Amino acid sequence: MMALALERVTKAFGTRTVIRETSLEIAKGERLALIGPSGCGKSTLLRMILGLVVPDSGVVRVGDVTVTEATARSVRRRVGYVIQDGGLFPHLTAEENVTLVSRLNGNGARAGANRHDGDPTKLRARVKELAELARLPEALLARYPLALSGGERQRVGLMRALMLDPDVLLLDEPLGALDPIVRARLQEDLRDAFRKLEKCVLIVTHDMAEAAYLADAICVMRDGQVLQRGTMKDLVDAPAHPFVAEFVGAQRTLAAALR
Amino acid sequence: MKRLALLLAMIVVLLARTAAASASASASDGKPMRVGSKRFVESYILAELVAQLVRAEGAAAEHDQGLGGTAVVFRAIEDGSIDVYPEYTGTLAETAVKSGPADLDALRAALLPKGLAVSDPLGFENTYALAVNRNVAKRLSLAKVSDLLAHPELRMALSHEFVGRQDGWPGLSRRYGFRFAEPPKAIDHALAYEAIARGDTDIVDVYTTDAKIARFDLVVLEDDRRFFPPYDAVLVYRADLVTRVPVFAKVLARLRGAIDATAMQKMNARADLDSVPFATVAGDFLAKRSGPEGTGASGGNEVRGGGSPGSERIGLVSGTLGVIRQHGPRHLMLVVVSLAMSIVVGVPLGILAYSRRRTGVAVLGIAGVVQTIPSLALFCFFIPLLGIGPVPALAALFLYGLLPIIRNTHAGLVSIPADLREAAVAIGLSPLERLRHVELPLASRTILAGIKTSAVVAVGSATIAAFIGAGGFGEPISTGLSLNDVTTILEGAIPAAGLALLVEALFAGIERAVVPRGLREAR
Repeated sequence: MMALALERVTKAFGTRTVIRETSLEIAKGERLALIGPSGCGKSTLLRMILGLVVPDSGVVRVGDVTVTEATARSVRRRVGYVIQDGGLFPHLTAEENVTLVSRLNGNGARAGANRHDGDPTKLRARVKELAELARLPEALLARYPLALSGGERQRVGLMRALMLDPDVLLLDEPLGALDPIVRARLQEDLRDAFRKLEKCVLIVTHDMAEAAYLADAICVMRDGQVLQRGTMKDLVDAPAHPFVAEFVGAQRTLAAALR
Repeated sequence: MKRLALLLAMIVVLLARTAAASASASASDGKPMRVGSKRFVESYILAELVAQLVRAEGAAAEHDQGLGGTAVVFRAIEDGSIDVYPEYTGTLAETAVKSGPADLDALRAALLPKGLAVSDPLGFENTYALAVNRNVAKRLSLAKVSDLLAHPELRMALSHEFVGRQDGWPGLSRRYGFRFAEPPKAIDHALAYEAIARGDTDIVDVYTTDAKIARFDLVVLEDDRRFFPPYDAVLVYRADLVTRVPVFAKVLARLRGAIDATAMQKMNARADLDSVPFATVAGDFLAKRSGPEGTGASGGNEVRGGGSPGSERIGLVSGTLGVIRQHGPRHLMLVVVSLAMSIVVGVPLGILAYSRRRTGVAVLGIAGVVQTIPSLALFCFFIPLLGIGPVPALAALFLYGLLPIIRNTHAGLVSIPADLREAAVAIGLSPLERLRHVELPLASRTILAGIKTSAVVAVGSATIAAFIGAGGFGEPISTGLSLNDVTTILEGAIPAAGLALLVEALFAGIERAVVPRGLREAR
């Protein structure tokens, strides 16, 4: 069984079709990067998985659950979601942001996977564990988001996404707003974290190198369709579409020119 | 959020207590007889006379001072909010019965179906008249109203009521066939004397017992074409009052023909010109009449806000302190209770306006329309529904407080960044959890600012509530207005302004307690 599956999904906003009959499957433990120019539909695809966007046709499945209006809320608790700049709530401290859903649901969340069960000691232990994984200094947990740097906020965002130990982790341009040094360090830390977790990861980016670094496979999208799926090597050596060659080439030219 | 909830809970408890206390006070068994008065000196004094006589006979009586003009006071006695008030036969014929000139028997017959009775005349007449400056009168040899026909260049300043009444200017002008160059200006009656003294106007309307006629040296013109109907002073009372409060019959007997025009003018002069409190004026009159064992000489209740029984004008500071003690609790009750109701209704309506756009447009529109109604009109609108006193005032203040709270709640929620709103959905919070843990805290500062606006507006609007008998700091203000006494006005205006400043300061503190720290640091 696939961890994540989209089957022939289509979505139009008014007259503009954003996703055209696209299918995508990700196995358990697989890490996939979605890449493409702005407006190609990659973020919309991610939001479909969370039920934030409802497809006009087609089916979205997370594990064995079909995403519908009725199941969306339970699906969201099995899917971690990280957005640009973390999407943290400014009125809560870093730690309160991470634990918000757990605190609200006490024992209500998934038993077993949810090791803390609303117990404050266990909750605290889980936060510590995640801080270590995300390489966030513990002292920063008591701060409010506005007192954190962009990179720190993103680490907290990752912790919040992982708090309920989800099967699937979605990241929407998680490093888009960061400067190059912070970005490089966070890329490393993210890769380490992904390797330890062995979760199904879907990451949206428009940076080819980042995609290759963080994911096993890359999906190139344009105009709401997947043009090619493969490793970096596949895309470079055997582009399935002129646009793939152009897109991959454009990102490599600069590096080549400097060499 | 917890702190906000706690605060709200505290406010609600406080209110419930205040409301319960005031309810039990007004609904107690030995319900006192309620004497009303209109908003001018003579009416205050006559009502005070009645109240003191009733008390002297051992029954309880309260004086609801200066409820408003004839329309308001008459409505109050129709619905039983008051039991008795001083009136004039001519006014009754014109305003209440709307019959045109009528004798006492006709008035009694007309009022009986409404459950109202009219006493025998008190002994003096207080009719309308036109008056002019003595110098002008001499120069133009004016003695009769018809003498004015030869001088269309003269200017008039007439009281609002006189301008509007059929037995006032419109009828008078028709009867005499006036053709003045300038139409009459409408002006507050108490200010008309100042205007004629300064020479801003030549002709004013007066009441014949008015003490200021002598003070400002005016000549009352003779109504030579007999236009003004008789204005005998009488008491209008609930017909069942004599059975409910048996001693009232004695009081009626004592007042029959008891006050002549000179006596009334003297009493008016003491209150109006010497600033002696109404209660003292009334008490002294009764003491003189009934000899050493006289009844009301002790002064009874103070009517003037900060007045002391002595005739000397006391300092503004101690007067103001007196007003705060006497009217502060009522004013505070009006503000706190109406504000609490506005919050309890306004915040949910703001949330509704945010979550349902179409309902939102309607809710904000309606609240906006209510806000454009002049406050005095809104207060008066509730009189037929809720009578007079604090209840209709609370209803009006509540409506006034709604819009800022609804609008700010809506604005605060709408202004939450889309990515944060979506993040709250994406992490799997239910709509209610999102509202409670994310959206309301993020909007808290804006919501609080709306509540503060409502609070300050309520402090100000509550002063107008005195015009419909709700009490509070507006009481000395309206008394002062009717007496043209700046000191008395200030005694009410200063604490009202002070309270508004206090509210501002208080909300700075509440913001610290309620708005989450992460948001305050963001400033």
